[in-house]
Amino acid sequence: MNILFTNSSLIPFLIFLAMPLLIHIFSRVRPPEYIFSSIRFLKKAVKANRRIRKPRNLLLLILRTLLTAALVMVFLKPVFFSRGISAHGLRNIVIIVDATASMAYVEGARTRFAAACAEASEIIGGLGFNDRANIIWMKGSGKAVFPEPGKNLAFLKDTLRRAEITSEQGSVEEAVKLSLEMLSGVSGSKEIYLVSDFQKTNWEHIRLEIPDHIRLYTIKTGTSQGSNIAVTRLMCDPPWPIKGESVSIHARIMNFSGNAHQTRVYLKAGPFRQSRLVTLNPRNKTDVLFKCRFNEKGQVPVTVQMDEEGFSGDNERHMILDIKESLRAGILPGEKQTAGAWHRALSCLDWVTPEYIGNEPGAMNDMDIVMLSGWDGEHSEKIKTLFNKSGLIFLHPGNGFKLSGFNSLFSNSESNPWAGEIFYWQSLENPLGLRVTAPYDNVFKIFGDGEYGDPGKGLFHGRFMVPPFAGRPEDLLISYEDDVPALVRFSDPGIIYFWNIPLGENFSNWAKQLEYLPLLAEMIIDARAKCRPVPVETGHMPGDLLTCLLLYDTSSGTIELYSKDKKQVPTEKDSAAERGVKYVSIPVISPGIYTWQRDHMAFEYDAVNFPSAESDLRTMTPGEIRKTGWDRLKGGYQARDLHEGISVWPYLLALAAGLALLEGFMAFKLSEIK
Amino acid sequence: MKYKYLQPEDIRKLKSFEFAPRLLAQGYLSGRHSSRKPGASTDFKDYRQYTPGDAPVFIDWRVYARTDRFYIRRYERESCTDCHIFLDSSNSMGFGKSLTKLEYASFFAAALCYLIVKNNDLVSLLVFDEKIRHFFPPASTWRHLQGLMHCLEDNSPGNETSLSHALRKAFPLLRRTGTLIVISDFFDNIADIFSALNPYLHQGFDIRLFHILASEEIELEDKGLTAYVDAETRERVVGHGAALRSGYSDAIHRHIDALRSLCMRKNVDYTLARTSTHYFELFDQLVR
Repeated sequence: MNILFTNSSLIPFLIFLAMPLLIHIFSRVRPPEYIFSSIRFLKKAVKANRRIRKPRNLLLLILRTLLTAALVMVFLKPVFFSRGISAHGLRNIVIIVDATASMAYVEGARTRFAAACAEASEIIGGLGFNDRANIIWMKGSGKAVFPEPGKNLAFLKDTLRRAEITSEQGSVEEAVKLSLEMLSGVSGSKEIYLVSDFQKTNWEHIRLEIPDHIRLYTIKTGTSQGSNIAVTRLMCDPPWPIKGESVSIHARIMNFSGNAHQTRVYLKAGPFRQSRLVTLNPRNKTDVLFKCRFNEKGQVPVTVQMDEEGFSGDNERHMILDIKESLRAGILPGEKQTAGAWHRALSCLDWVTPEYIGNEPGAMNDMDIVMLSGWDGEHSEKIKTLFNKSGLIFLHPGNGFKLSGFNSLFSNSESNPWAGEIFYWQSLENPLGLRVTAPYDNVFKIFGDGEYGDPGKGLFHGRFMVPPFAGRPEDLLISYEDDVPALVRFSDPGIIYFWNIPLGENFSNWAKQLEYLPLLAEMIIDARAKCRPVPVETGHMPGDLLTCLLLYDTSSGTIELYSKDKKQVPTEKDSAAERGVKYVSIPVISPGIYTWQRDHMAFEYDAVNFPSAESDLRTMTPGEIRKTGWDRLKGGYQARDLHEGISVWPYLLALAAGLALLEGFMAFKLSEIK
Repeated sequence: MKYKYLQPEDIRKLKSFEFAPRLLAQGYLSGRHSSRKPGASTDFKDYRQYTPGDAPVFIDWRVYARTDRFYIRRYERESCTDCHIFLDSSNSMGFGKSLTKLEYASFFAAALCYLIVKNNDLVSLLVFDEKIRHFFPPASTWRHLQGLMHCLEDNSPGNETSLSHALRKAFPLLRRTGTLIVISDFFDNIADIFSALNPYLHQGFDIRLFHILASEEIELEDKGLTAYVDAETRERVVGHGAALRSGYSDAIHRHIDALRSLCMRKNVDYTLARTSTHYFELFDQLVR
């Protein structure tokens, strides 16, 4: 603490502090004498009385001295400043204002963001003529008003006044990093102010490294714990539906408040409208299920929303369902005969479109089904990614295949029940047939009445020798007659079919069997039902740039982007696109379905969603903020006081009044005793 | 007869104590302690109240007829008793606003001397402070009384008190037992006082203590912040009267109670006298 006396010329008056002591001393000199017969008994009385009187007199002396001191100090007008801060010297401050979505929550008569802007304005108001300041909006990766702290404080105040909150997320670390960069090149004192609601989910794990010469202060806006319910996630099952297929849309509703809520949830998906009444327990989640069937291919914008409540930004969520004409099956022809057999079979299904793919990057990305024939273990990371995204994969091993490579596709050891490296091609002198080892599996349901034959029929003159399968018995679908696994299914989250059934004419006639195609079809249908539903959201959030890539017919028509409010969003062509024509929008500011239009005809949609991390409006308590080690101010006025100093003379005056009362009371009590 | 401490009006008042003083002189001061020297006399002196054990032959039946009380006729030899008055004249006895303790004591001592001489008893006077200042051996003449009065008139407060020292020094001077009357403010160590009185008690003296105090000494006046100066030692103590009053009162009353208590134990008569009350009332104390 630094202290400054405003009226330092009055310091010599501190000598008056000696007055009570002098009066105390001199008032005892020369009392009138009185000749008394014998002071023997008086001495006893004085001795008894001194034990009580002396401390009381001492206390009175102390009170009077303190009272005099307080009165003198009132006239000296002391001002206290925080450690490291003085009334003099140039100040450079950067105010990081939290502009993330949670700041839109209304508390009292204004939003947390409005309160934050007011505090920031208060801080700026306390700056001197030569001081410099800047504001960083904590949204996205941080946006500063000036490139470095500047003197145009009026402009900053005006910016604060006109600022509006959006639904973006923000990075604290990025904003602080930006502010540290700004302050690195300036001279004078350096301060950073963090003005935020300190939303718990976003702030509680933040740790900042601030150099010692820079002071960091926090100002918390937002006192309540926020009561909010939100739509936090949309999932689709199957994730890439085809036309005519039944689609389940799962909407997750979260109740972040401490009270139970009941609300109605609405689905708007293409021509479909549905609603559900939902009861939400405190601090709990509920999944709402909607079922639809889309009979036309194309993009279908899906919106799930709730009835309005206090914090409305997260009351709806969007996704774009890509309804396909058919499933795209990408076949990597490592082993041509098997690949060819697959291709021919799938071509017969009008809901699957097989195509050969290569090893180029991204080849598997757009495929609904990936079929690897003669797989040697390459691209295992891609396959793993696909599997974890609930993809459907057919794996037919080839030369060079290693069981360890196959095992590496799974994240836990329970999913890879093949130990060791026993694997080789075995030519069979005596052909072997197949045996359905899981006859009650859904895959074999249609074969139950015999209409579609027996999928175990067929003879094989060669196959890969693999160790016995030690996983779940229901996953071993077909074996050879000597119990060597022929067809094994691995599931959760996606589906991998291990296909140890050679389809080349040299090794079997199985591909020509009647049962082959229905089995393949049932495997695909069953796998789609078994895959875990995945979120289909594009991941766009407010603040992102929306892009549209036109690969074909790039020249004709006017491409425009419209928000859900039918307002046009400016876009521009990106001439650096590698192929086709790319249109890039400005950062979108609000959630919703955005429509790309060519000559006013919608051809593509984008979904922008509220950042669900901003939905939990609970904030850190002042105690939790203190534990982080950051200095906490109660408001912008305190920042002002730190530099203008805290004038303590009113407190000293109050203290003097209190001491005077106490002194009077003590003196009265003493006279009563006398 | 007119002296400072014995005015004609005082004498008249004392005469009205004719019967009572006779009781004093006869029944109490003198008669209570009968002479150890047996002897009869035909010279009627006065009466004393009958006490059990007295010979009925000496009962005055005429007085009985008049008063319904028994009185013994006394003859001269029986009624002759020594009375020794010790008067404290230390500096502390000079305290007092309108009437100092010494003056008060002198009035009382003068009245006593008159009554004793009037009864033809012997009275001695010893004036002391830290030492014996004056001693008048026992006598019963009017001239002797005159000398005593002049002594009292010329007396003034002296030095420090030492009652115990004076008592010890005075003991050899008293040849005959009798009544010892000590008039003092007793600002001395009580144990020393009674230690000095023990020979007297042992000898058979009938001891009466008259404790003279001024009202201001019993109840301390509130004079505010005052430097109290001891009249004898000149020691000072500064204090506030109101603050000291309670403690002082406790101390002085403890002293009085201690003195009274010891007197009771030693069978010594004790009377507390305030200078604000008339010394005549002290005689009433004696009658009881």
